[in-house]
Amino acid sequence: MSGRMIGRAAPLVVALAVLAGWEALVTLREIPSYILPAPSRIAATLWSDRTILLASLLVTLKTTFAALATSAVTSLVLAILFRQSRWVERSLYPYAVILQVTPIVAIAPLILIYVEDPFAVMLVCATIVAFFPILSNTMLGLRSVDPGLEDLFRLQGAGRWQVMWLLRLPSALPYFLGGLRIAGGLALIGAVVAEFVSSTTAGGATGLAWRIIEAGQRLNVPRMFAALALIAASGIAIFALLTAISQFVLRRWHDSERKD
Amino acid sequence: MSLLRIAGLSHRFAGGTLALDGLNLGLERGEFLSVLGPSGCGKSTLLRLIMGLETPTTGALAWAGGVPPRFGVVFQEPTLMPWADVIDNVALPLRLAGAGRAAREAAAREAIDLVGLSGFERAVPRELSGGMRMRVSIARAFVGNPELLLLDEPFAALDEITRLRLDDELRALATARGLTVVFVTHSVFESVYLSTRIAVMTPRPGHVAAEITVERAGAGADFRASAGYARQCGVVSDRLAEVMAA
Repeated sequence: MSGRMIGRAAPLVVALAVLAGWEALVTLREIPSYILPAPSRIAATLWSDRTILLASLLVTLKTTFAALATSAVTSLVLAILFRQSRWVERSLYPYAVILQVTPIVAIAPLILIYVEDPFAVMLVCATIVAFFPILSNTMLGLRSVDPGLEDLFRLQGAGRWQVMWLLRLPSALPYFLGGLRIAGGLALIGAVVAEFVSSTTAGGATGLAWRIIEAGQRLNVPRMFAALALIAASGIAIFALLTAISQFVLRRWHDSERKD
Repeated sequence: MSLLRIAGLSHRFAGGTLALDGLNLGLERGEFLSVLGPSGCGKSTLLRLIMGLETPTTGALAWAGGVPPRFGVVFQEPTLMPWADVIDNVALPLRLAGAGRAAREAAAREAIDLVGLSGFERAVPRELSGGMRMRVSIARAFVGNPELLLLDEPFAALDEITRLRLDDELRALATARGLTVVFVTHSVFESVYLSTRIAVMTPRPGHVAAEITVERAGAGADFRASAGYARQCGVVSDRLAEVMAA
């Protein structure tokens, strides 16, 4: 077996070992499933509760992707505005930082008071969590321009917006995509946290986080694990998707995607 | 006929370093002028001042007719947009000037053909060798139909074989089009081979200490192999040594 195959198989081997140990422990010690369900029991629950879990997964994913798209657009527009006007940057950037450093669980109850629509609450929460890495990465990218090319654009009499569209934005693309990859996971976290917070009210929260709370109250621990597994799998899938998009977009020219 | 007069030019960087001090230099239409000097003597700063990328601290650049002519530039690095293919890179000056797509592409293809890169129109810089990237950069300098070409040690980073070839091609192109060229270099051999005139600069703060006219007449087809070439390289080398020692 080649080194590369071993490298690929290694995490799978760890997962199988952990699951097997877990299964053995639960079986041998006869631990009841309302304390710790065996992996086989969780898998069975995933299947038997598939209708309810998939519906909830869709709710959570809808929030996540809506927040990711909102973050991407907002951050891109803000980063361009900040670059074009130092004045706007000085006025607004500190508030972007404040939003980023204040824990979302502390802000969410306030949002619940002022925003009525439950989906809008989730969207706002998840967007607040997700937008900052895209914003700061894109700002860095818009500044990271080859000085020689900048001179060349100046020599050719390029206008401010020509420099932005033809030089700064393409230069910032790898940074933007890097930010998007981080934001994908954060959007999911934001969506889940928002569901947790808003679950205390009689809102229409029916996402996976809400399923976990609901199942916890009913001591349906296997379903809690099943929902958790779905959240984790979603996070991995989102990361893989965004990585694939980044690789596809940059494959021809950027050093980060060079095949070696 | 004079194209540019530089008189009493000094330039001090924002950090306080005096790069150029009391530099005088004239540029005649149609000549190939090499600016020769050691590293850090302010050659590149002089070129940036000519390009208008820097403003002189004191002194003046007087262009014939009051405005600089259309010029093309080639930097030490190819300075290409890594995300754009050869055509888009070469056509950039036209795009920034607001030319339409069809006109841009036609002019770019012509310039690409000029530097021998036909067939590579859709390649991106990463897919090209160092010498080919430099050719793209030269094509871009030619695409706007310049009267003046400004080059800042363009081939310094290339291997000897590629450099000699590009020297030949650049010379042929400049002669065929009757261009005025300012070529910054630290190579005595390159300056003698390419130029009609050489301005030798002092170490920093730089000024022009000597001007030498290169004589090519009677050298035959292969100037590099001629006795005249070797002799003039010797002369320029000696002047450079004197300037460095002074």
